[in-house]
Amino acid sequence: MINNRTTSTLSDEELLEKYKASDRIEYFGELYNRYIPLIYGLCLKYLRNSNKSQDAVMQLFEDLIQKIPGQRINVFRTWIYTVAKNHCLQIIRQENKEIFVESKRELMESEEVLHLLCEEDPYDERMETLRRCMERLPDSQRISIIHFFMNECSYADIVDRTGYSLNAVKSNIQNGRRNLKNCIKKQSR
Amino acid sequence: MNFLQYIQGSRKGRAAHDLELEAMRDPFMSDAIDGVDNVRENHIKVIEKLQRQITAKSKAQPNHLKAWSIAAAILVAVGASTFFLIKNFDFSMLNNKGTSPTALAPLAQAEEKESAADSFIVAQEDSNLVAMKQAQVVEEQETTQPVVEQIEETADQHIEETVNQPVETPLARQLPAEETIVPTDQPAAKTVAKVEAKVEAKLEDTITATDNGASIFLGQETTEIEELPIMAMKQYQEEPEEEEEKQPEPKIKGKVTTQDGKPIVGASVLVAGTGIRTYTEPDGSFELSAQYSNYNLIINYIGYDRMTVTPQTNYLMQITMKEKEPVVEEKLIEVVTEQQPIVTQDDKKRSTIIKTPKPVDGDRSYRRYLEKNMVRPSDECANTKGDVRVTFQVNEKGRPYNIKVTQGLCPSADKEAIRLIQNGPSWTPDLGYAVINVQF
Repeated sequence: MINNRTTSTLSDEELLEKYKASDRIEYFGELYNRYIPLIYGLCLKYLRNSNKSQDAVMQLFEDLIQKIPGQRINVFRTWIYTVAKNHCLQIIRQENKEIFVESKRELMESEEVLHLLCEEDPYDERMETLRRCMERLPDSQRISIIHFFMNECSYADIVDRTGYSLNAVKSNIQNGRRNLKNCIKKQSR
Repeated sequence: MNFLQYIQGSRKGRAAHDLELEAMRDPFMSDAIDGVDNVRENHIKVIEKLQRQITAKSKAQPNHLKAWSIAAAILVAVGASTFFLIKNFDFSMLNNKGTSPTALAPLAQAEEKESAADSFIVAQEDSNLVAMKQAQVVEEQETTQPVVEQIEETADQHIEETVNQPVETPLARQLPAEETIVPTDQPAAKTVAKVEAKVEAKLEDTITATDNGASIFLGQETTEIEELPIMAMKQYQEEPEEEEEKQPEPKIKGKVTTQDGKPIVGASVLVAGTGIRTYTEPDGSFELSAQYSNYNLIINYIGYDRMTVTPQTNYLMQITMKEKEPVVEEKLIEVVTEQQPIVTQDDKKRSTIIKTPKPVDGDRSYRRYLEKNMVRPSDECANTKGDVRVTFQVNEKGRPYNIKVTQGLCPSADKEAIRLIQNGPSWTPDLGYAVINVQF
């Protein structure tokens, strides 16, 4: 009914507009399908169970068909992230389960360090501070960070090169970033 | 590389790295990666199944929709006919009262007509109310007609503005109405009542037309009509003055696009040396205060080459970003360095391994050098693609020597690879052989 070639080149927002204008669920289905990998992954993080996550993904779709026409959505990606996350949190609440989910907020806020690490802004005098702080990191963190940011290795590449486990690499980089952030904060005072 | 390719692939190479880097700025992606890594399951299979289900569901639905649209059409028809009945009723009412500007009632109603399809029931009640109020007020205020007209004009403009602006939430939608209500003790205030009624009518129209939750607000606004003589003449007068006084503050404005002119949303625009950063809007535009016009701007977007530009305040900067060479799983250039494990159990072994030279400025900038300076062969090798593998040694000054092609591609490409290394950045003066793949 809808030409797949044309819909697949449309942007998220264009598809959304089409859905709102025509009320044809195919448009929204196409859009939702684009995000299924991410939404499913997100649900896995919170629900920690494949079957529950699958149910959540399907249920959310049903809910959104009803909900969307009345919504004002600027950027679909950020919107669907919030909505999907709340959906999962609600499921957890209904189950009365307590889960521990590591907060990424702190890391997302350490944008400054991220910028120093990967943008090589040559005008930035904080680069020197960064170098000093890098020297203070524990070996494992420094090595992981250098591989990731300077040599542009993926996590899996670093596993190959260093022999650390995947989780170790991830947490090395995460903790390293946190340490750098704190160190730079202290130094600049 | 997208998330799906990432989770089903080997997750190696630069493309994987780029995605992981992106995830550091993108909580959605990073949550999804965490989730997938925490649960053991054939995720690809599950995702494909889910997508099939969604496709099936979205195809099954249209029948319901048709039914609904027919129902809606009937509703509209009924609404329209009811509407005309009421219109007649209103006319007779106004005529009985003997007021002259009856033209107002049709006006308000004509506007409502547009939204009648969506909310004809609500419209019925309100058109009655509004029309009655208008009639009364007009009766009282006939003497001050000119003023009324004037204000009506400004008010209309104001309403137009607020109505045309995209509004985020129902709550925000309510605001314009409230803003205008500021108590004044001028006698003229009463004269504006008529306008207010119109304002409300219009606002209600837009609300009912666009929002399901409108009925809640309608309740509030109709009560406001009862307390009519409060009105913000002040505001309408002050606003234009303010605009005249304020010189538009100079800003650095720009638009970031791809090479084919498509806007890039979410590109980072960084004021060099300050850590101040903004991101481009959905139309690719960005704005920065003119105070940063002495700094360079660094524009970054994943998958595109980084750009440094000098900001301009007097015109809109057009910034076109160049896409990075597509990286097919790692191989753009691979600095193969006999892979000494950096910290492992075999630390002892390490000391016996001869170190291999590395680019002094790091792999990444060496790769950039190669990308930038490569001159593609123009002879019969012009269309060859692939890697030239080169090995060499490095002298104590860090310059390569004894450069040999160990895996050739095409004569002139091989020569170019050697030239690049010969003239390229220095290497660490280690004893081993450096091995490098130059991709054509």
